[in-house]
Amino acid sequence: MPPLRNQATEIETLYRKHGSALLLFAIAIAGERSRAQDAVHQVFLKMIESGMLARAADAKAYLFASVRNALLNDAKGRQRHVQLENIPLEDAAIWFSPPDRDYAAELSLRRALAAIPEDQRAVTILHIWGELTFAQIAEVLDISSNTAASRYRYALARLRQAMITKEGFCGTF
Amino acid sequence: MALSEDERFEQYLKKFQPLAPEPLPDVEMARGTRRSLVLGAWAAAAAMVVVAAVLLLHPLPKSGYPPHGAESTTRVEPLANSQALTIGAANTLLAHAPSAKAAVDGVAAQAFQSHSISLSEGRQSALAVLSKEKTKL
Repeated sequence: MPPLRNQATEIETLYRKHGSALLLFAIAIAGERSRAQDAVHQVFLKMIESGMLARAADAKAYLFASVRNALLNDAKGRQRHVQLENIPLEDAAIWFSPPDRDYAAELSLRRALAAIPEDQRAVTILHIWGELTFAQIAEVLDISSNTAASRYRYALARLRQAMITKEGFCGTF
Repeated sequence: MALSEDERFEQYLKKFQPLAPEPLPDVEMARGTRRSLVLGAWAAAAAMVVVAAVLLLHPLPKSGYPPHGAESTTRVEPLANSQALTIGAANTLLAHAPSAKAAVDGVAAQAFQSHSISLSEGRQSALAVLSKEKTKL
């Protein structure tokens, strides 16, 4: 198999493996599923065309950073930044497939994520669903590892508080 | 070892599975489409250059009328001078004319020419027949 074909296959494998977390991360930044999906596709197609993945030391971190950059560039072009807390989440498409089809809990989690500051939301998604270490998150968001860890602790406390008080999830985890 | 509250909450959050993205567009198809678009653009540009070069070398006449002296290319050859414009002659002209306009021109030219031609006995010109007819409107 030629090297380019090999690389395309590798990239498609990465898409299958990390696509869901990348899409979630993109939705958390863009606020819209369609824009998020476009950004993720754009990153992967560009990588296949250019073969840039071969030069990345950490492919997973590189993917998340690329999606974030694509969305920030898109927002610059449109000259508008979506504030997630201003979006009516009840009408928006769901972000997660919830355990036991508990869609009330899914909405509660989306609301809680939308309510925390964007930088904390990004760290939380990258760590829990992206399964990135704080060192990798630091690389993606261009912050220190300590800052990433600190933001995560704050975010987790706020999420737990929101989900316990609003929906009474105390006994479920 | 018991899990801390944070760890238990993390485990709970991980039960929420992010939705799968839409499948990646067919890379080969996307690449092929892009390549064909580029090739199409180059082909169109080359064709325009060729057309421009041909027009520069052989400019078209400015109006729709043929240039003076070039009339014979579209004009119907009139019938032999000895032949007057009969219905049959007019049919022949129409049959051989390259266009309707050329046919009408040919018929008209022949008609005017035929005024000076003496017809043999028993033959009449088409114009003479038509002028004798009484048309009821």
